[in-house]
Amino acid sequence: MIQENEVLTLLLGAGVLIFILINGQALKRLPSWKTLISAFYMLLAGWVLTILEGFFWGSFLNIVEHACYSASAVLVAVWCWKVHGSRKEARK
Amino acid sequence: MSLVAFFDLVCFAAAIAAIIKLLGGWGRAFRRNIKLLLMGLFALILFESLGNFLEWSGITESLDSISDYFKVLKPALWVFLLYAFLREKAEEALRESEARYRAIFENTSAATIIVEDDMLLFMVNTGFEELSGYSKNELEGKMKWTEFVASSDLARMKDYHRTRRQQGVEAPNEYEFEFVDRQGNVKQILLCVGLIPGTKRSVASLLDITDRKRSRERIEHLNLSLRAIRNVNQLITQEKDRDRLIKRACENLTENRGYNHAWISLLDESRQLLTAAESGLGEDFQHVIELTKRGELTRCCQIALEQPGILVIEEIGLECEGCPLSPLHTGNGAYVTRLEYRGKVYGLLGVSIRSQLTSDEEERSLFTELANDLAFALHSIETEEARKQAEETLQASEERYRSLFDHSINGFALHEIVLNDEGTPTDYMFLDVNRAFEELTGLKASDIRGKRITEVLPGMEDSHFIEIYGRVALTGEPIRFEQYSEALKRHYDISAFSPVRGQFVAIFADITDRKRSRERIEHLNLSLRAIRNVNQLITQEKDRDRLIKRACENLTESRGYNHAWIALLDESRQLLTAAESDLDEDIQPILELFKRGELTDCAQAVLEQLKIRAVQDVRSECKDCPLSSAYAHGGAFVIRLEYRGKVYGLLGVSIPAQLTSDEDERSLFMELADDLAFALHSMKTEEECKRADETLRESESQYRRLIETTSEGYWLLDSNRKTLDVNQALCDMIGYTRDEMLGKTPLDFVDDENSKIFADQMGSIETTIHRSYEVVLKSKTGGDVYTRFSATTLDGKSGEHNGCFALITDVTEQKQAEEALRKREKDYYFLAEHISDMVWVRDLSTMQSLYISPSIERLTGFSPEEAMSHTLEDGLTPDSLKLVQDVFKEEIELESSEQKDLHRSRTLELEMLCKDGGTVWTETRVTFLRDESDKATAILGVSRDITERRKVEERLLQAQKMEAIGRLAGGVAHDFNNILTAIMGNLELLK
Repeated sequence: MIQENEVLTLLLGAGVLIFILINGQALKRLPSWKTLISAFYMLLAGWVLTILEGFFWGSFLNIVEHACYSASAVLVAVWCWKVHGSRKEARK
Repeated sequence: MSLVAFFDLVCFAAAIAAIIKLLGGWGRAFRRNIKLLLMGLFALILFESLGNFLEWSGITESLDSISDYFKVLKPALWVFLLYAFLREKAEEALRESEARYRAIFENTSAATIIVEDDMLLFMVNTGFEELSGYSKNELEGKMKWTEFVASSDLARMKDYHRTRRQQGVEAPNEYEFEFVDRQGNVKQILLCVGLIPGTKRSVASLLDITDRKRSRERIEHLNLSLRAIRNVNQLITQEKDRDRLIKRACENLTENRGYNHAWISLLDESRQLLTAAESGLGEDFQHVIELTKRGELTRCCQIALEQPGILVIEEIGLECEGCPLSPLHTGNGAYVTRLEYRGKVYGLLGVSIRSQLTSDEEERSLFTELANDLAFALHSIETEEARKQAEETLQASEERYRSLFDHSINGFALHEIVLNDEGTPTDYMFLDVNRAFEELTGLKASDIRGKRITEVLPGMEDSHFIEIYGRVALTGEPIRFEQYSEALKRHYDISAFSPVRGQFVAIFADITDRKRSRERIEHLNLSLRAIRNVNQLITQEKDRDRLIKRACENLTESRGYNHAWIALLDESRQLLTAAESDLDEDIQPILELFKRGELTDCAQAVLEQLKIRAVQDVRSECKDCPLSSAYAHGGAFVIRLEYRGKVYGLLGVSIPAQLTSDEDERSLFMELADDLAFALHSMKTEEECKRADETLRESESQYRRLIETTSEGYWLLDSNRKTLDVNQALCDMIGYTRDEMLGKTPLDFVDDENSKIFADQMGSIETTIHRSYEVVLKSKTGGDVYTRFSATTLDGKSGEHNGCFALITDVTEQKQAEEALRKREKDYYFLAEHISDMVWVRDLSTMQSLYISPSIERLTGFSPEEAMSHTLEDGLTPDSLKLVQDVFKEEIELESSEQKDLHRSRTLELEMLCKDGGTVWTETRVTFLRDESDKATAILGVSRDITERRKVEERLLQAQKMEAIGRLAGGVAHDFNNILTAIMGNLELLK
């Protein structure tokens, strides 16, 4: 069953995706930008899967959805660690 | 635990870890807004994970439902987060860029400035500090960029500045200008400028290109110099004329602007100017040429000539004061060097060049190379000219020798000797001869070549020539001898030598003329000696006859002439005297002819037409002359003895015939005749001088006697007006002796008044030769002596004033008589003027009144002036007029008779007309006035008023008419007699 908030979140996420695509070159200047963008893509995939699980393979897609969320969280955390570390390096 | 839970836990753990990381390094990483967003994102993940955990753990589902709504925030958080990151990155990039550009701005080598709209310097970098010499503190916000721009560029740059702000890109963004720093140094600057977008400021980069420009100019100049050298080198290979070479070299050096001016002076070994050329100097170079011609080299020229290498003048205006070229070279330097090749200096080369290039080694090196090339070219031209000259000389010499052989005056003949069987020379054969041989011998080469001498000249077998030439040809011993050819009538000098055995060369030189010349010179010497002797004789001998006799002897005794004779003639060509030498009695016949006035043909010719007559053969040409037999086979000269147009006689000599046509011989003979004529003239002149001297002495003696015996005084003064001589008559006249008067001036014998007369007359002594004046001299006793001077100025030989003399006549008695006469005349005039009778005089020929005394006015009423204009008819009644005319007629007729009485007179009674119309009776006694020859010239009349007497007489007649006629007549006669006596007395007084 499709929830309105999930659809809204997906639409907003699509907007963010458009933002990322537009400012892709600028975002490339961010340190470890691939990690960060990958985290967003994982999150976006989770939002897509949330919608899709309502139609088919509900359980499986739910697990994948949470895996994506988990991956996204891990990637963001990793990005934070990397960025924090690189700044320290830079300051050194 | 399900996989979902596991994943949620992982999420939870990752969020916790990230939050811890963020919180732990809060102050170090990210900006605060990003950290808050991240914290929000992780908090949301944590909340969502927690909600999921609580859900699957079955504790509560409330958080999960809440988290579903919070999910919506996640995209927004991502957007914000990414945006925040982008902003941060952008700012970071901007900061980095700003830092980078600042670093570039600060560390760039180019001076860079940022300029405000009002030209104030907003920011400057270190480069500009170094460029300008000011510090940033002094520059930024305090100075304008215009303060660093040279005045020549300021307007242009301001215009760019303004245009850039008005029209943007249209103003040039890159250009050059001159920058003036704090020390006043001018630098060449390349400026790149642009507006800072969005502002009114402009940023400019200033690049100091001074060195670069100089380098570029130097390279350009080196290129020009190289081109000039290349052109000069091309010129050197082409040009063979020295003057054109140096001229074109100078033009090449300047025409491509390699050098500003160029000049070349070529000097000889004594440093005198040979030639010069210049380019770009014009008339100013003439001053340098003039100095060089006078040997006054300029200082740089002297130094350059003394030393090798280049003389470098860095600033002509400063270092070459006084040089005529220095005004042209202001701001320029110069190179001067000598043009030298292999130690020989050909001249000087000078160029002017910009001062900054004078120290350039490459420039100097090029100039040295150029000078060496030019010197080499001059050396080559000189060598070439010398070679050409040598070649021409050689060619001329070869032609001369060839011509000498062909045109030699010496005959050349190559012969081969001909021997008989015994080896004895018997003949010789002609192998070759030259043209002179043909001319000398008259034998043609074509006729004699290959022929024997005996064939050419038969009879030569017996001559000794074959033997002589045979010896030369066989022994090789040369021989030389002289030979006279009777056939050719010429003398030859013959040289023979043998070039190869059996042959000989004979060289013939015609020495006929030389021999004749020698004879002629010998004779001329004899003639000269004779003339010298005659000239000596002329100075010594004073007797005419002895002179001509010894002259003839001298002319013959030295053998200059065979015979000589002189005949002196008078103006009518009669013989005066004669002399001869070596003719003896042979001269007599011709002298007899001269005495008879019969001149020979030659004598007549020289006296009338010719100065000299030359006879080559007397016997044939002068058959009728008595001397022809004496002159044998010789010739003769006859000449007139003439000096200044006067002919004194004739001179004749006999001479060898061949010398009669010799001009020198004639000239000497004419000179001799002139000398003799001059001697005769001198003798005659001397005799005339003697005679004139005697005549002069005699004349002087006569004049001396005349002066001494004359009754007139004689006074001679020298040029200083002092008395040189006086005669006795003058001494007697004024009472002084001669000695007393000598040395004194005439002023010593007159008073002051007469001194002036003397002074005036002596003042005109140089301008007036003859002067006559009267002076009163003071005699020694103090009395006045009236004299008349007749003075004459004496001139010296050269016309200068040389004193004067005067003849003085004593006119004292004459003066006294004149004085008495004047007094008597005055008395008579007074008498006539005051006498009561009227005295009148009329001209006899015209009957015009000459004088009427004033008493006429009392008598007739007419004034004397009125009466003077009256004729006889105007003054007399008709009866009286008729009476007068009759009486005058009688008297004039009587005057022509010889028995006339010169003192006769007639008395008439005449009735004269008065002014008032009446008449008056006068008794008039008339007589003639006569001149010195007693000829009547005028009529003198004295008229007395007898009107009263006539009335008395009429009354008396009336009273006594009755008395006897005889008594009356006697009485009347007695009265008349008394009157006549009185008139006659008066007439006597008038005379």
